[in-house]
Amino acid sequence: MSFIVRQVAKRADGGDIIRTRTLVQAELTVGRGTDCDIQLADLAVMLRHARLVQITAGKVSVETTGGVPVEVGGKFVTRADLAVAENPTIDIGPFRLSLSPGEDGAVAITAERVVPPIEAADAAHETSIFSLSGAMPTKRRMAWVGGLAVLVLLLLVPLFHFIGEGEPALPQTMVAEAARPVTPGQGFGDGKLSVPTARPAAAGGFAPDESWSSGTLSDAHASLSNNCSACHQKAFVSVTDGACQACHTASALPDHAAPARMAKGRLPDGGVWAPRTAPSICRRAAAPAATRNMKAQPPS
Amino acid sequence: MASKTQASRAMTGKAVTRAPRDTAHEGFLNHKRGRWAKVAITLSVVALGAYLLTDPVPRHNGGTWLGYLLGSIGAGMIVWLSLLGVRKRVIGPKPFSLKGWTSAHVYLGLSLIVVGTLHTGFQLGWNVHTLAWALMMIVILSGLWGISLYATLPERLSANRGEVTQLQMLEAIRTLDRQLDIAAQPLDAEDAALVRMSLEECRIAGSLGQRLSGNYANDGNARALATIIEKVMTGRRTGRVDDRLAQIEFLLERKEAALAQARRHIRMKTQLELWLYVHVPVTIALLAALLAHIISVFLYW
Repeated sequence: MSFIVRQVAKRADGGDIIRTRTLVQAELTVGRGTDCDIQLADLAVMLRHARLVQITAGKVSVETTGGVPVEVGGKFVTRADLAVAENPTIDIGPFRLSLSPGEDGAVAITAERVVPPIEAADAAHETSIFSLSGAMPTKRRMAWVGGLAVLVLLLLVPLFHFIGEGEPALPQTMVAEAARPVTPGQGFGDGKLSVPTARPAAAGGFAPDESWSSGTLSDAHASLSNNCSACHQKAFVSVTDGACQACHTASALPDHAAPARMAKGRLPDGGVWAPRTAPSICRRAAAPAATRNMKAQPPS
Repeated sequence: MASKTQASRAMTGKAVTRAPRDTAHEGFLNHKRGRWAKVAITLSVVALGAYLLTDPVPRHNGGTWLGYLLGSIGAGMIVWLSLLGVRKRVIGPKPFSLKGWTSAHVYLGLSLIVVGTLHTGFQLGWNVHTLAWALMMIVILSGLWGISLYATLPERLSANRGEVTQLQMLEAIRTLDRQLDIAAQPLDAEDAALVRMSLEECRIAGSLGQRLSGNYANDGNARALATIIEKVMTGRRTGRVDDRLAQIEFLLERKEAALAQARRHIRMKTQLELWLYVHVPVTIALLAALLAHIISVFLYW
């Protein structure tokens, strides 16, 4: 009553390591546990998976002890009697035990892993399962999409609009409004030249370079909001007085503000360091205009 | 200096002396006792002081001398901060350690909230300039979010996984799959279909929403387990418990537990990673918006 156990292990380079032991006993335990006679190191095998008993010479019975069946001849069974002469096989998890008659009536058992460990396959999935790369587009792709969208929509499209734009056409009504003859000496505050309160919509719809506008224009200039180059005439050159004077001609609007304010803002004749009497002269000179303004618009 | 080192070597009689090294771990947040935090606070206070103590006409904006100064500093900082992605890929001796660089990245990045916002003069609108500011704020706040996660999550992550590696978590689930496969062989078609549901319709990680919420109630294994539990309970009431079904129930429960551990792991790793999926792409978009902002401002001066 003995077993010859040959355990085959695969070497990393593909060769086999075969360890042979002779066990003189009528019963063998098979399982993952280290105390088993045939140890099958795989988690699919129960700690004490099965028991092999040599009933008579040439006849072995297999019986599961771990609650998980074994596969014998393509069937899952918990108990089976096997004739050794028929070279039966027992599959336990990924292992196969092949039985054959050995010397001196012993039973030879070759234990071999037939299903390779799936570690390699899992390693390939590990990244996609445990990192976000399995559920999201890559950061690099998102960066390309976002960066290019900003560059194209907010830099290139407005830039091509600017380059493709010819001479700016000023809105006729605005030019007419600005060029309306005003009596010399009159300006804001006399009740005749008023700042419009309604915001006229700019004709011609949305222009791409409006996305470069840092804020809304004043109501008087709202018609120019899609017409940046009306004022920004040359690239990389600050807006010049010439752009304003295209509409605000000297004859139409001699002064930028009411005469009183204009006078107040002017340098005194004697310069900044002149005695305090100098500004009073200016104020006296501007007095008639100031009183007229006060009559026209009584303080509320 | 070299001779001194050699002399000390001769004194100790050791062929190889170790480089002096602090034993206590000093993270990037308190690198060099918060040197970069002090720099960042100084920068912010000076910027705020200059903003409050000057009164430009008509008002604060990006075009005053202070506005240009803050804008130049801010743009330079944005470009430098984004270079962390380059620096961390360059391995080798450098005058600045990666830890020091990261520390500066974090604190100077936070001070950019002050510098960038004061540069706007609080004039915000629907335009490319405010887009650049908004993208900058998104980048900074996502970085803040990431640091707060880095401070809390790794401990929980390691507590959840115990001594188990990611591969072993997968292996445990695969093993239970194999055991389920074996244990299901004697079952009739209806019960075997439930096991197949667990084997074939079970996704460990799933979509982004599932990863974040941890809600896998509709997953194959959970559905199979619910049905099997009901069947086993019915069997217990009638006194005829199918042992094979009870074994399947046991295996499905173990698989559900293994899945739960792996999914807790995935959930925390998702949180640890997700902020970077905002931080990095938005940084690139910010660099593009910054370019558009600077070019457009000077093109339409």
